[in-house]
Amino acid sequence: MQTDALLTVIDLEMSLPSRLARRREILRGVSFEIHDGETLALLGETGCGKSLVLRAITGLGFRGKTRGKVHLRGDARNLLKARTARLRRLRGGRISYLFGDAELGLYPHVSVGAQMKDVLICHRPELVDAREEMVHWLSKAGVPEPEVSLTAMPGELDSVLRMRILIAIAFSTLPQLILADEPTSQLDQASQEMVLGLLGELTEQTGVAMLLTTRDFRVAYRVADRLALLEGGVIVESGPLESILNSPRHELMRELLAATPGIGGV
Amino acid sequence: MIGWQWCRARLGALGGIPPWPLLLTGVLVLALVLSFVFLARESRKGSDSRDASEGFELLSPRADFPWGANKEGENLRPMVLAAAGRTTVVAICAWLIAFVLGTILGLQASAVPGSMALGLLRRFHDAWSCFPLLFVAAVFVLRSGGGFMATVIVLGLLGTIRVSAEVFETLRLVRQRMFYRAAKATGLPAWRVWMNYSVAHAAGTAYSASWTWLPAAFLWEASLGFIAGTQGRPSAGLGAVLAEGHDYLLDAPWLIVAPGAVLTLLLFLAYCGRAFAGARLRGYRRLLNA
Repeated sequence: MQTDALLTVIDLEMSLPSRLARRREILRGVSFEIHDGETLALLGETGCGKSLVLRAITGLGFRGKTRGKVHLRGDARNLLKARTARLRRLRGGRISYLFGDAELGLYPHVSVGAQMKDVLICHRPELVDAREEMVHWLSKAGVPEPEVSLTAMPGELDSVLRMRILIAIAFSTLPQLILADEPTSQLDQASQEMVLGLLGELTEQTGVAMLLTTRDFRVAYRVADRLALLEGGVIVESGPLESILNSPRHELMRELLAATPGIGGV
Repeated sequence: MIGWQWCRARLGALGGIPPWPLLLTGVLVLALVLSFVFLARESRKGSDSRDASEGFELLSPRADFPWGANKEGENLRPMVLAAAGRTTVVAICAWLIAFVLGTILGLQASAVPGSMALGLLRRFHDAWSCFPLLFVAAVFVLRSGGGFMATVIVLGLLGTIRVSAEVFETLRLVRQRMFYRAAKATGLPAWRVWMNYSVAHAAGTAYSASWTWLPAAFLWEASLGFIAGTQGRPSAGLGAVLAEGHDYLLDAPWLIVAPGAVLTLLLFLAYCGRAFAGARLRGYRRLLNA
């Protein structure tokens, strides 16, 4: 493992309580690392444990037991054993979490501006004019009329606009790493293209690294620099996108490639 | 040795039901039976006293008292209006108690898992769901002399159970919602997430549940008055006035019609008030967020 990696995950294991067995192993020996400005796509079928990897990194509530090591650069302590207060400072600060469900990612009864301001004030208390910063990031995320959108309630906006706002909130705290949990799973084809384009553009501009989970090979192909294929809680293949496209080793990866029109399929 | 553990083991074995609901069921069934016996005895006392006051004249509605008169020849209108005022004050006080205490109890039960407040809340709510608590409330009110404070406190506490249960349930559901997890993922302090998302979300429920309790409190106060649970004249509620008229239902229907119509109007206003105030508050909320 290289030591200059932004995030290093070593032998991450997770088990959940089960009625049938004493514990049910969900993740086994998951190891990867992410460097600055890099995008790693965790690819896998539904239920293979992609989202749990993200939740284990941020310590977001689940009843599972975790083992292994998760390190952020510049911090020798294991994130899996971090106290809640430290994890809270990391969440939204050095690590931003982007939920894929734009319908439910924003609180429905508070205006967009109030929610965004809360996050900004929490992580960037030095800001003199939070409103100006909010408008700046909303504009960057392609929100039309950002001043108006700040006063809007989430229910008044369409799902693409809500997704843009979630992206703006995620980037506005100037994180080093974005964890995107299936950011396009609820969107149609055209909106997916737009969101992926926006994510690619913003990560390139800001130099933020991104760990993205998806079950769609096209999404990974569109934004990822490197791929890791997760099957049954185990990373069965990983490497740079180009090398996997040229010579996929695992059977599931070959099947995924063959089933994706325009990339590996017809 | 037959002791608590012995009872617990046997009662717990009945279809896997934990023992406390069965014990609570027993206690409340006993309370129900006792309340029936007590009310029957009170009713007999009332009919005896009525027999003693024979020889009155029932005056139908006329120009000088359009709502009619009671058996003593007193104008019904001021009497019904005074009774409506008392019922309204009792219901509003009970509603306020239910709103404040219910919200606090629901929030406390939600914030501290396994707290005593949560335990009490769950047990009282089970009792609320299973039994006609009106009879139990009637016994309490009657035993305390049917005074204003006793009625308010009993109705307020009954409303508290309902409001707190609703608030608690809302907060439990909020924690499972995606936006709550999304808010936690943004790194906001726990108290801030709780205040901004949980409490804000529960405020609507507390408002709605307590407003639902207001018309119910009108009906409960009237019901308690009707079964002679609250004080008689001059500080009688609408239920007590209705009870007076009930004895002369066929001979003087106006004795029922006037207080009945006022009670219906009060219920209608309470329901309308909930709708109008809700719409108004939505407007304020929108302004606050602007």
